[in-house]
Amino acid sequence: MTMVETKRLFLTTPLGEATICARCGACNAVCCTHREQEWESTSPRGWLTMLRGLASATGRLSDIPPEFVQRVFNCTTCGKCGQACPAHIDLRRLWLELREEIVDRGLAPGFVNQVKEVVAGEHNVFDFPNEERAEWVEFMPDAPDHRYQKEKAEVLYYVGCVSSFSAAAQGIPRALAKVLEESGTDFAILGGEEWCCGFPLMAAGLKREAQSLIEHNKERLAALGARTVVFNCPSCYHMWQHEYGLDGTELLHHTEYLARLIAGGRLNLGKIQETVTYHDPCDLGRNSGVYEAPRDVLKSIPGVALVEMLHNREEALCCGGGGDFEMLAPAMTQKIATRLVQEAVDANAQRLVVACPQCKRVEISGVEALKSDVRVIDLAELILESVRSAGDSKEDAGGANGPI
Amino acid sequence: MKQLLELLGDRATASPFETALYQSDLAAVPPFLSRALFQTRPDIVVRPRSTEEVASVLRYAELHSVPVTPRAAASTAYYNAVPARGGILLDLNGLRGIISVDRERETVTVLAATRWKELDDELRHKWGLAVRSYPTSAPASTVGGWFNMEGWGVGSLKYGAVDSQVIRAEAVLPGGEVTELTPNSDPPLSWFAGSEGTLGVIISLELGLRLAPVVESHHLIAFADYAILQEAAARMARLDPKPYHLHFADSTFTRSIKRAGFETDLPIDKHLLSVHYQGSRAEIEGAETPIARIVQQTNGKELGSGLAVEEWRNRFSEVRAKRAGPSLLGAETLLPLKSLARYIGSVRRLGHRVRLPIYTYGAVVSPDWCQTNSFFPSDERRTWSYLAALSVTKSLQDRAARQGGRPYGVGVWNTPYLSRVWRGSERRERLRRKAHLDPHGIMNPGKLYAAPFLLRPAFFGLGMSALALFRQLIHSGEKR
Repeated sequence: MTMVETKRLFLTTPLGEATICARCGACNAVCCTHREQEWESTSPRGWLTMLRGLASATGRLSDIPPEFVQRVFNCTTCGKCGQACPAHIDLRRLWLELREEIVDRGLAPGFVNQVKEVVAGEHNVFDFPNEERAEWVEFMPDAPDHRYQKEKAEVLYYVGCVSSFSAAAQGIPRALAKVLEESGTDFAILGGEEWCCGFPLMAAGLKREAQSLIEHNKERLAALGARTVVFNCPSCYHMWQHEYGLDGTELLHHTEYLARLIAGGRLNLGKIQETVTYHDPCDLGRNSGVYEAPRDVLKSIPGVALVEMLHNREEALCCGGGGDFEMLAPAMTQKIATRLVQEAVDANAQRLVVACPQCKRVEISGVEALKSDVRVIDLAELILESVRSAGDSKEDAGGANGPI
Repeated sequence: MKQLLELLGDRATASPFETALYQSDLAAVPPFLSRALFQTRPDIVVRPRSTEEVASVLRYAELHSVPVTPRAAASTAYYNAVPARGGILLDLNGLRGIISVDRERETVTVLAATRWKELDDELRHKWGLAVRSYPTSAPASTVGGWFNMEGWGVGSLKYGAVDSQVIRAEAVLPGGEVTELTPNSDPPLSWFAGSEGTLGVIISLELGLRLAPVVESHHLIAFADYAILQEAAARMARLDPKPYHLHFADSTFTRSIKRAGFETDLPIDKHLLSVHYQGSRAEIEGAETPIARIVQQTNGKELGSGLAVEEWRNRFSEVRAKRAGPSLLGAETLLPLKSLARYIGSVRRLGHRVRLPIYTYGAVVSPDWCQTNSFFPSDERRTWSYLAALSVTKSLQDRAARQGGRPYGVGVWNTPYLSRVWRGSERRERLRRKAHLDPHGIMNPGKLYAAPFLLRPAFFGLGMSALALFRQLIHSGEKR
């Protein structure tokens, strides 16, 4: 609906693209993990140089040394390298394919097996019992008796692992569920029948292992009969868009769905007198082309003043938490997040609005590191606040139907 | 080297895995060739974060007579930032970011490894200011790096080369002395412009800025004949106010872009001139009539504004034509604008003769000069035919020289053409400066001043002739 055309990127073969690489270093200049480490071996250009060095006379990869393996997993898969590449190389896909090759050769770092076992066992990346996936609903005293789990619904709200299990992110599904309810949307969640979307496996080089998860989720979608799927996690959204092969099913990120509800007059928004900035999550913005829907939503909230950070839209900074990177290097993830939060501080924003549960978790840690007053909030949570503010105003005026 | 490892701690390494990655730049040179000629692998890589640390490294280097190669983005193609004699690789990427902005005077003091695009973006976003000019490699290349080269690029037509924007700089001289460079200092700032890191290490620079432009306008004009394109370009370069940027490309460039897989509505049988204005509304509006008049009088065809904007947006992506390669070979030159058409004609004839789609694009950088880039696709994975194709790059340089042109940037690979870069007394003066500031020859040795034995003009000429013959031989069986 509000997607813009993303830069056209190419991927022939990893070795082919490594030769096409102009060696200019535009990727190095924007790489968030390289910025924290600075050695050429930690840079995208450095990896392509190594890749060329590993090409045998037959044009195939020879032995892959462990140092190289370690570097290739030292990446958030944010895609900013490809966005900057003047030769239009789809570097994000290239890194993912390389990881697959490394896994196929049995050279994967230890955490890959952990991810594989955890997701295979519990169908979520947190290693929690999957039947607890909808536990966030239990903290909603006014939730309906069906707990949003229905046999049939027009809309599937696919919650995702991070929002389901991470305490720092569970406010997002609670807010979104309330907002969907308020708008009169006929929606359902899958609860324990929702399985991981598969992205953590893709990011670990385990694309094939993701297939059973994909098939399961597709079956559940078919059983529910929903024609629309709404996601609050950009990585789940991107995964469904590119790997699920669904025809005739509308896939929308919650920023898009909220924009639609607001444009259709289905939400009554009240005043929030705040200066906010918006962080484009990598898998929603740069990698999916959704930039304007969240901004349209923010601009529709009375009283909200939207200011942009230095890096926004396709040039937005990565939070540091993607591509399984936080599992490998949590301290560096926080450093990367701190740079991002600093931009929100520099923009004089009171709130840093995100549209991704992982960004929210990680950016909260960045705020703590900076000891900043900026408050991190997901767009769904801000909209719920605005809806409640409208409700309060009505109540004050004596015309309210009670709190949401 | 132990001392350096102690001094820089975990910001120094002699690990072969790491040092191997500092042996190259944009140039795809077969390793057997580069390593036969030079010791490209540094013995140690160090990443200083302050003036004091750079000074300590240079003191150590002079004391122990160890070569030092300064490097940040390494976004040139002549090994300017690749070691020729091993030693210390001084990775300056830790010196990055704005130090201060003087809004009143419209200046910025910036660390040398700051990228041009990131500098310009931040100035516009936070202060409503903008850099005056920048290289077409702005997303990758650094402020210090471009100053160390000759610094012609986007905006040069209006504001001159980068050295005219640098007000002062902080530098560390060989031996470790920290000094402020100004037009009147000893040594003066001007010595360091285009010195390719051979006289010292630039730490920070104060640059003159401009107010961020309020309005932009973009025109794209198609010509059937490049002689007419040259005439139109020359007239536009003399307009008052001057265009911000004037870019040209021959029809082979557009065909190469299409061959590389990019869809475009640009005509493939026309030569293109794009005119970009930036400034106040009055300035932009005032330029419209003169541009229209020149287009009319030269029988140019103005293409749609959408295509003109697309050309502007692609100013950092000319290398996308490399997708058709997968490698590119060619020559970057500075050329009198009055010779542009003769040069393009000569290059196209060469392309026809050697059966290569050689394309030429570039920018008019002053009313009298343009910077041209002529490239053709090649494949570095096919070593022998790639080497043979190197002979064509010499033919390109020779054609530019015949039209009064010279190489743009020297490093090591353009040292065979040094006599074209600097004439008699200028070369002597450059050598005098080098001997004065770097008597032990530790700063970026092997670059800029003299060709190594096998690249001396006589050997180089013979070698290139042999490669040309070899190329004829291996292509003799191919159909035209």
